[in-house]
Amino acid sequence: MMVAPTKTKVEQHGDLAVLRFEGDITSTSEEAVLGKYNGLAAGTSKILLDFSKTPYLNSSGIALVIQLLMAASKASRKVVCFGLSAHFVKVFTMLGLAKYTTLHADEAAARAAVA
Amino acid sequence: MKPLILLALALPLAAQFPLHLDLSGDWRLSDGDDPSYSQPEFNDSQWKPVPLPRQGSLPYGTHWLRRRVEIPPGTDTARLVLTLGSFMEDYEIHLNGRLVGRRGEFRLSRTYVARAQSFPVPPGIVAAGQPAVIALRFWRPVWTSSTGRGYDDVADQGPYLLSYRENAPREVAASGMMKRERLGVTLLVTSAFHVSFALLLLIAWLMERERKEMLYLIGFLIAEVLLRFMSYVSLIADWPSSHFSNFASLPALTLNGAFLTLLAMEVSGYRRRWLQVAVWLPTLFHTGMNWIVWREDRGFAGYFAWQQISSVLTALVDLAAIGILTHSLWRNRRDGRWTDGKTILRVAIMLAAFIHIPGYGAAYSRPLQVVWLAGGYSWNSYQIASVLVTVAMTFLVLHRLGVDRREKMRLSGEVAAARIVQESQIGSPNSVATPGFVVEAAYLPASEVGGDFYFVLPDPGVGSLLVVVGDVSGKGLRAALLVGHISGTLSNERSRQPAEVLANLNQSLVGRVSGGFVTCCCARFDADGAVTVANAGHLAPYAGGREVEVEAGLPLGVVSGVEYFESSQRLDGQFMFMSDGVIEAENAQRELFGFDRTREISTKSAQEIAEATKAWGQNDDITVVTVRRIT
Repeated sequence: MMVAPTKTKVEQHGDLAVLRFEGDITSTSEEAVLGKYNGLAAGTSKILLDFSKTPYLNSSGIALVIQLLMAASKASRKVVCFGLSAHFVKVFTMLGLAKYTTLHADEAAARAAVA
Repeated sequence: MKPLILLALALPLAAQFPLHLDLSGDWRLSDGDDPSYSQPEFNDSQWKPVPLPRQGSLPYGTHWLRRRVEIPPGTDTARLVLTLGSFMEDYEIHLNGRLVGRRGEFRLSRTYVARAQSFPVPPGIVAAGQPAVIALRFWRPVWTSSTGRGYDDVADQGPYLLSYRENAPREVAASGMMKRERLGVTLLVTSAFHVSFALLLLIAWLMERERKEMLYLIGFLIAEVLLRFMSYVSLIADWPSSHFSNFASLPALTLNGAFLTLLAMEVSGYRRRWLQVAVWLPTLFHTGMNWIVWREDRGFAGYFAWQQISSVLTALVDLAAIGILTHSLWRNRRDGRWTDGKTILRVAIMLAAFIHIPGYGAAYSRPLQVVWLAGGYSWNSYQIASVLVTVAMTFLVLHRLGVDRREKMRLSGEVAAARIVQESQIGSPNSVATPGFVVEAAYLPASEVGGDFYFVLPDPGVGSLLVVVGDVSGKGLRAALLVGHISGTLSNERSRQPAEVLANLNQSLVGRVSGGFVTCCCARFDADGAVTVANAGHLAPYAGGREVEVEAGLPLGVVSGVEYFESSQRLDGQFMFMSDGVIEAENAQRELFGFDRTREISTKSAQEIAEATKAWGQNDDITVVTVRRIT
């Protein structure tokens, strides 16, 4: 099955960064996920992960997100996610990631969570 | 009266002798273009003398060549034919101020390849015993090759002749054609080589579609064939094809450079996106330039400058190929394997690039090519070198394919062996005695070896059963090796507490998962029907058609010291564990199998659930384990 390549658009607003993912997140998405995270400005303390244009994450892709969450946790950065489908909200919940991130339905709720 | 009678008798006799007025030698060349130049009374004494058949190049633009000739007394002027050699592609013939013939139309789209041609002289234009002036108005567009003779390796050998139509011209034309046909034969022979190799490579590529170097080499071969075809058409068919061949063949020259550089990048492993795009610039540049020329039909000022830019761009692309391969050879110099296939292939591509640079220049300056006659045929050094290097490249690319296929088969055999080992590690429930319980499992790896695992560990002493189901992120050998590690860790595990089993497993995996993780669900089934479940990021099991509520926990191997929590259940009906390959099976419409469908079929047998998932669209390992109590 063809996998759409992941694109990531980074928006930086002061200490808040928004990573907008587009396309499936799989083992080939390392640069799109961790690469973009590592490229964030040093003063970034709040990160929004936008999954609204990500139809699918496989286990390797989820591993990349977990690595991002771990790295952010070590750097005391707050990460919130939004736009996940109900399916992946459930998967993220089962993965026990509540300690490292919160899941929100839309961007407004996510922004409110980090305000 | 006697001389008149003799003259009257002599004239018909004279007309019967072959006329052979040699017009070769010095003609007069004008600086510019003016209609008055056609007139016999025009004084051309100040014009520069030039010899025909010509030795060097004639000037660009529109100019005139003039020559005076004495028509012998008694000439039958109704049978005259003027034959001219291949001095230029486009020209008009004026005889005593009247237009009597032309070749080409002074437009690029109607330009013919230069070749010898005869033109009948209409009656009444010249008179026997009188002088006549032949004026040739010619046009040499900047578009054409530097010789002004188009794609033609046959030099101007004349003849320049005024004769009767029944003699010399036919022999001359036949001689010229023969030379061209012989040159055409060599073009066809080299093209046949290239086409054969392209087909061979195409078949090989159909077998191994990920081998891009074969596609690049096919592209190079097709560009070479296009070049030769254009040359052949220009040479053999007397079509107005000069412009057409230039239009197609110059981009083709830039195309084969592009394909060579892509091939060099692929073979050396030096893949840079910007260079993969940049190699097409000369082709785009040349095509754009051609479009302007085609539209104008006359060429345009500054065309030479454009040509030079295009030449430099093309040379840069070729030099990039040579540079990449030189760097690659230098980097690998310590291998000491100077005679292996990879090294020789790189050298062959470098040679092709070297040959290609003068080949491009040769479109404008023939002296860079060496042409010689052998066996009655004309051979071109560029063609010969190109064929030899192409043979080497094709052989080496196919040889490399063969070596890689053998290696792939060897690895495939090893992976198949690894699968057998893995299957024995994860253990079929059928081979494990599970008194008091019926355990079924279905395991469908997405590749030869998978990252899913399940272990059924009965404790006959107390009648309990420990079931561990999990998934290593990723697939293939790396995941399979982690499964092997998990198997070894569990075989030494003494605890029967699911949370403790997961905590221990987590400690053993931290630092081993290389950025991945392992999800795992561990459940202990007691003889009295009690079930204790702990979960490390795995999908919750289903019981009696419902999703079991379990405490979420972090996947294994992510961070050390994680504490897991247990929840208690009762085993009524069937307990079903699965991997994410079930819920994330995806059909052609990219619709996931999902939780709802999984719940609906969770009471079916393990095999039925796995098959239903696979039928939906497997894209990951699928594992289903079901546990029922024997009552």
